Amino acid sequence: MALLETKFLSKQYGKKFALQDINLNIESGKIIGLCGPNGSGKTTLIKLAAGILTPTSGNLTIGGTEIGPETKAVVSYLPDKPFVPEFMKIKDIIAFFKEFYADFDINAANEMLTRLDIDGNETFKTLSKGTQEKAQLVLVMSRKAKLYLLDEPIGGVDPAARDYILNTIISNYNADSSVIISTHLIADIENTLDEVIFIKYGKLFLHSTSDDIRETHGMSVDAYFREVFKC
Amino acid sequence: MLGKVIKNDFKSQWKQFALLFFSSLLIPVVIYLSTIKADENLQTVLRPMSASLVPMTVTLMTFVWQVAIFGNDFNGKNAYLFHTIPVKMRTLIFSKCVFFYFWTLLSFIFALLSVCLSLMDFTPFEEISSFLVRNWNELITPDDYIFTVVTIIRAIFAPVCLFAFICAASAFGHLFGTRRVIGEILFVAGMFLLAGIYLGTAVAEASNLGLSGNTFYYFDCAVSLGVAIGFFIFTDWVYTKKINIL
Repeated sequence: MALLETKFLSKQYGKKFALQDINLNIESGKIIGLCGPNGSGKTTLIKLAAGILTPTSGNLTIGGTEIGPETKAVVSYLPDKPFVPEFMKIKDIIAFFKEFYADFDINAANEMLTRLDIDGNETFKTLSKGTQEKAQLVLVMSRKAKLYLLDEPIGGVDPAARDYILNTIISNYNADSSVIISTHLIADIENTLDEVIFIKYGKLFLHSTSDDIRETHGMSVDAYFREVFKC
Repeated sequence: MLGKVIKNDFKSQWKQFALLFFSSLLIPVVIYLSTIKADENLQTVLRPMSASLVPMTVTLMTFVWQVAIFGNDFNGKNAYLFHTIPVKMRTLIFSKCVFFYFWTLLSFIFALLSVCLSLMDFTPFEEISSFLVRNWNELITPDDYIFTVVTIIRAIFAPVCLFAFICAASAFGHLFGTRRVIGEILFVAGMFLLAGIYLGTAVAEASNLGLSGNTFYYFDCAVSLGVAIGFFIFTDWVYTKKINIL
């Protein structure tokens, strides 16, 4: 059974289609790059899978189950904006995650935070933007989820932080789970991707393995992306 | 899960409300101590002012904060966190309702304490309290126990009905996407209009329907309860089936 499956999934904002007739099958044990230019529908697809948007038509299942509390228990979602209440202390948000997610590994979270030199007594808003993003990633990746949905995890951070984030993703996900990373910075993550999904104007343009793209088109995924989405 | 949600809501809210309620007691005490040796005219101005403004501020701020907390958690900057935890929507709504009730009740208690503190050993206080006692005794007559019981139950459930109204307004606004506030205003305006039409029609038709006096009052209580339940169902439906966190 596919870990994530969509059938003719569409999402409209007013009269505009953000996503149109998306049919996808994502298996376990893969790191998948969700690529497309700004406004192509990447965030919409991730939000639909996270259960914070409702499809206009079509359906989306995770592990064969419709989106609901059962799927939220196995999906670990990192939004593209801060999701931790700004006056919350780091130790409190860790306690919150421990309380609500049965798969949350508090030891792994504390270990990663210690390595990042983040004090549990600090409030979230006192952290720098980069540190906030790292702290949020730590929370999300400390879960032993079946599906990780990471929306632009490396978008607003410096190259050194990007390396840290990518290493954290690779070293924390397990073979039974899959990671969907939405980004347009493909060059930075290309080597970590098993599969790539291109979305163009809300429609599925391509779903293939990274190796296939390199073999078929004789160029890197990043170069192919630039060619496909050339302005 | 409900216990966990309630525990988390309490942890995130108690400090701000504790500070507000503490202030409601502190301000009258400070005013009392600072005016104890002052001119009697100053006392006559400041203490009744404190007795009216402080309780009003406490109850109003409690209400506004509750609405803000609900808005933040369900539609605002905390929505990403709250809508991705594996908890049923009705559990999240119920927890908010519990705290709305709890904080509202506490705000009334502290407002009353604040009035007492503001007016302690102040002559008009005795007149006010005897006036209240006299009216209470006249209102709660033992002749009609059903009326008294229904009135008490209505008073107990009033904050729940108010919370249901806030929930439904927020949910209706949610259907308007980025124009959420317009939706909320339309809902509130629409509901007041409907309430006006209902009351006008119901009062005019009450005698035709055989609803007179207390019977009409009980009918109205049942309608209020039904509407509150309807508001909760609507809120649950919107945030479960029509959720759009943009």
